[in-house]
Amino acid sequence: MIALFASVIYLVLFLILKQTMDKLHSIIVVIAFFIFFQFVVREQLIPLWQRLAVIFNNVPYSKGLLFTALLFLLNELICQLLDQFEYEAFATLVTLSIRMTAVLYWINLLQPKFQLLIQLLERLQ
Amino acid sequence: MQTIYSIFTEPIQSLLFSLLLVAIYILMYLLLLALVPNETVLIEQLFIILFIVVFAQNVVDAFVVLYELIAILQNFFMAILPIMSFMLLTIQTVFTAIAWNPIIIIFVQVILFVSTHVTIPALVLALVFDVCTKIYPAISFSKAADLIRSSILSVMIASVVALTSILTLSGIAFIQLNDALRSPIKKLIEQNIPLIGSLIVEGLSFFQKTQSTVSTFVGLSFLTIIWGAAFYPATVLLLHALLFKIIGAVIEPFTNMRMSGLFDDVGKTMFVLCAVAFLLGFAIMFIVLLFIFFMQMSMGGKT
Repeated sequence: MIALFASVIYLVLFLILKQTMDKLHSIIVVIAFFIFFQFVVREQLIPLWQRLAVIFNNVPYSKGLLFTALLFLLNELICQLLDQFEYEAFATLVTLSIRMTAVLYWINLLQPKFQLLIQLLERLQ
Repeated sequence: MQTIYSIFTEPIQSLLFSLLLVAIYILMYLLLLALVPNETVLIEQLFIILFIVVFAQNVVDAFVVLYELIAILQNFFMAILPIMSFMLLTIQTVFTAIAWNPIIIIFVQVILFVSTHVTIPALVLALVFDVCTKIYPAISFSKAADLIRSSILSVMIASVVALTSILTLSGIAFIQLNDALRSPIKKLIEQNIPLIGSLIVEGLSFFQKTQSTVSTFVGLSFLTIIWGAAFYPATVLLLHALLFKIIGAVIEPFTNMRMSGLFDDVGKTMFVLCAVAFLLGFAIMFIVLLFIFFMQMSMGGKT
């Protein structure tokens, strides 16, 4: 709810800023974005994630799923920011890196289980 | 008492637990899709692999049940073969000489050999094909998996028919295969359980026909115990197979075709596995009945 009011105030401030100091506008937008970002993450995202982690505590791989979702969420935010300043290639690179991180994380997590399947295949020979 | 109780409750408990687990995973899937809509493809892939990993244990369990059954059967025949030969030597009546037909033992051994060396690897192959198809749909092996499944099923049904006809021809079984005896309940089972319903019906009617003849000699409780022991693995496998079918049906409205199709195909393969277990159960039953018949003959009872 606070975010809604804050965003309106930010919007007005940005518009005034654009009128007065057009050269510094973009850099101030980035700084404001990160201030707002840390506010949302600390006040809302992390409590929600902790709550979900408690709820799905006993489900296997629930922590990994939540971590993956958090990673993708942050990736999406950063990429939107990069896209806004027309650095699309850079955004693609970040997305690629995040995806590879997720895949590597899951491979490490799932490796023991896949070895079980391979054992079954070996047993059949 | 507790152990016996747990034998029957454990499969059902694991089934309920798996269903609950699937419900929670579907919830998380929808949550993730709502939070990160841009990465749908990757999340879907992740969940397919996650489902495979979480339910691989069930599939492996099912295969282990079948392997244990086969190991027990091999020991069983090893033990029973000398006893039978000894009985044949000591009681040299005309009836036993006619009834003794080594082709049954050979046939059962062939079934065991085929099960371990052909059927189960082929079913694992079908399973791998299905999983590969669902992980990467562009390269599809679904026709090959279907072919393997249907051919194994036809081999199994042919084996059951052959076993029954051998027993009937050699005069050991006292069954006249009579279709008119089938009650409406059996018809219902046959139509509602896919693929192997007819096998179950065959087992039921076989039990019904033989129990009246044999129970005069050994008693109903003994037969029930043997029957339960012979068909317990098949029932457990049937529960596993039904679990996958139910999961496929439950998740279909919430996810796309790939995930529900994965469970559906695995369920089909498990049904064929269950048919193999049923066939082995039949083999146990036939051998036990043969044994009872020998006892009956040696003690001068009438068939």
